[in-house]
Amino acid sequence: MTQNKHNRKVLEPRLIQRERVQHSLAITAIAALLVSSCNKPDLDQTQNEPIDAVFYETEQQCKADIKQQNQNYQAQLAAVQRGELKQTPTPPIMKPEDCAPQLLEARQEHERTAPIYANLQDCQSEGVQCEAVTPSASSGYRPVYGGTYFYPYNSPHYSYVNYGGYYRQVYETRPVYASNTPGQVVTAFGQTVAKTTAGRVQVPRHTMNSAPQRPEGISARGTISGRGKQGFGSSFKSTGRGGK
Amino acid sequence: MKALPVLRRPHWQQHIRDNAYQSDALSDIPQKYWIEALPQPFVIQFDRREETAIAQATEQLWAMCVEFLDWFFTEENPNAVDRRLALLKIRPEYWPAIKQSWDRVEPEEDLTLMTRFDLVVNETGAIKLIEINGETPLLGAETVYQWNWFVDYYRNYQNSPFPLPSDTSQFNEFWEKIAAQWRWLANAYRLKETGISFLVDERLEEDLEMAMQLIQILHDEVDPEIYTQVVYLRDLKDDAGNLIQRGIGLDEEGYFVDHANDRIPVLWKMYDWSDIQNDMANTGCTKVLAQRLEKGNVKVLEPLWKQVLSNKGAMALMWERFKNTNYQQYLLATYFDHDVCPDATKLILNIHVKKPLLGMEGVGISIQAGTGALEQQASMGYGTEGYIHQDYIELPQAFGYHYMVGSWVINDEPAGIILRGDTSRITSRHCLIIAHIISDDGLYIPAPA
Repeated sequence: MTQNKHNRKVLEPRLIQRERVQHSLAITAIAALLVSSCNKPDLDQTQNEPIDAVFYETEQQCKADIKQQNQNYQAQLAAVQRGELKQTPTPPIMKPEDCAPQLLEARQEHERTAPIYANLQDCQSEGVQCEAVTPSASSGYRPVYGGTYFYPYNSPHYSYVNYGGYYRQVYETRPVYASNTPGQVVTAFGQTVAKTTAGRVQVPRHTMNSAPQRPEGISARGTISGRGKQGFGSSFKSTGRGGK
Repeated sequence: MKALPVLRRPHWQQHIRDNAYQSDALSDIPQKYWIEALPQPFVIQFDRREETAIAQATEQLWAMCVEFLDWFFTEENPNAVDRRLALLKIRPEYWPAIKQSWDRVEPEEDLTLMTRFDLVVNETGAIKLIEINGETPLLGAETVYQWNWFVDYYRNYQNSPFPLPSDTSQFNEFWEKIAAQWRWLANAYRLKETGISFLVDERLEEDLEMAMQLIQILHDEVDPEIYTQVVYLRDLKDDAGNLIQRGIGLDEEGYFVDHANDRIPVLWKMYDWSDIQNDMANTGCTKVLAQRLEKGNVKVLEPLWKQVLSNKGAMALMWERFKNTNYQQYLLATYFDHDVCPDATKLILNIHVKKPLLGMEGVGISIQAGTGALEQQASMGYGTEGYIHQDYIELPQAFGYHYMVGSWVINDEPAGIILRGDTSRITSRHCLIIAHIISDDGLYIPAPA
């Protein structure tokens, strides 16, 4: 019999972390909340404000950009020494040799988090370009990698990547998918963002949300039934609203 | 037990929004879903003897359920189990899977997360089971919130005109017991590797709120890295009719699949097995699903054997089986509508309750006296599968509400209570959530200012 245990329970409230739980669910579920809930969750209000980020698609872009940043830095430094410029410039945040592991991390993150669809049509219906997944264990289609954001400014988060046998510290990445619509990319949560140039950019805060890592899934086999008027939910007899 | 008026806290709606799932319903004044939406808020006070009695009854009733299921699935003569499954109007294609499901419970398969008994607890000390919410028990969010209400009230409103007795506590171990059960399930079902999908009806906000409450407990108390996702019963569309997320599906090998067409290894659902089975009959998939469930490699909460407990026919079988045992003290006489034994006839001629075998939330239930209905709820299409007749017992009343006790049982143990009231004698979805306190009327000594 356990019914008296709670008498000794500390009088503490159970903290409700609604916003965190919503974030932990795939964003599609959050979109659903936006549709179904009378009170729009607060999470939207800061999600669209622009924040500083870096966007690259390839290692070459990254290297070229860092090289350019370095040239600008050297030029500004020289100008300071000549007394033409008062403010000391900030050096580039990365070295050209950081580009390869950084972009490798983005590719790996894409591998880890991109959803796999049973067929091409399903994948494309999400508004993204799609490719066949090669290992036959999880055959299907997934969105094409479309570059990555990372956030080196204002207390960045780091990750580690095995690069040539050594673990290298890199910035956490948020890869995006190539969109069917030119001039756009699609985030892991299905939100479209205007495609930016390579290098330092300003993008909505929501691009920073990390994709929930799907456990390695097994794709459905064959035709999928149960969606549509005769399928799941067709026997449910509505009883109004309230509690079961 | 008695009703105790309490203060409507000045910022109660904000407190609900900050401290509860189901906050839209709980904080909505017109719905009168939470006590503070009433002109005079009140709680129900039980004393410690009553609390112990409710906990004992809950523990005993669960022991009875287990004993019942062991009997139900035992072939004392050929086809005995099939005859019982037929009595409950369960589709024959699923009989092998349901039997397997109960056989698999030991050691670590086809596990249950929780069950809620609906009990009548009255002033005479009677505690009677009126329903088993075996499969889709809601009210988890409300159970957690009544605790948060209690903590806030006890900390901040004891100097109000309506202080709680100084020895007040609450019978509420829902959070910690769910946490412990999640821990067990996470291990047994390897949730870290498989993740878990929560199936909710996209039209019912309370389903998603319950799911989120359980997800938070899972992430807070077990592992925040366990992958969780929400899967909807039907395609989810925005107001303009654009598809937001495809609904759940079934592949050719009988696996449930999510919106990305991945198989779902572990599914928590807020949708009855009987409805899933009818849906799959509509779409011609009964065979593949039944065969898949029989294999047992798809884990579902609640498991298939719960379908037996949540069927009201089980109440008639339990009465028949246990009316001469110690469990009888917690049971109401119950008969199938085709039962013609003298006791059944006597019951049907007196005031009694008629309930469909399936259906929740009071649908199709009527209070009968001899020939006609005294009070009834719309049937909403339930009842074609048959009825039971259950002896009538009056619910206690407070402030114009008839109220009953929802009593949680988690991991074979009582885990707390949540009360619901209704202005009708039949508790429906349009009910009132009533907080409770436990107290032996200790003296109230105001804290020094």
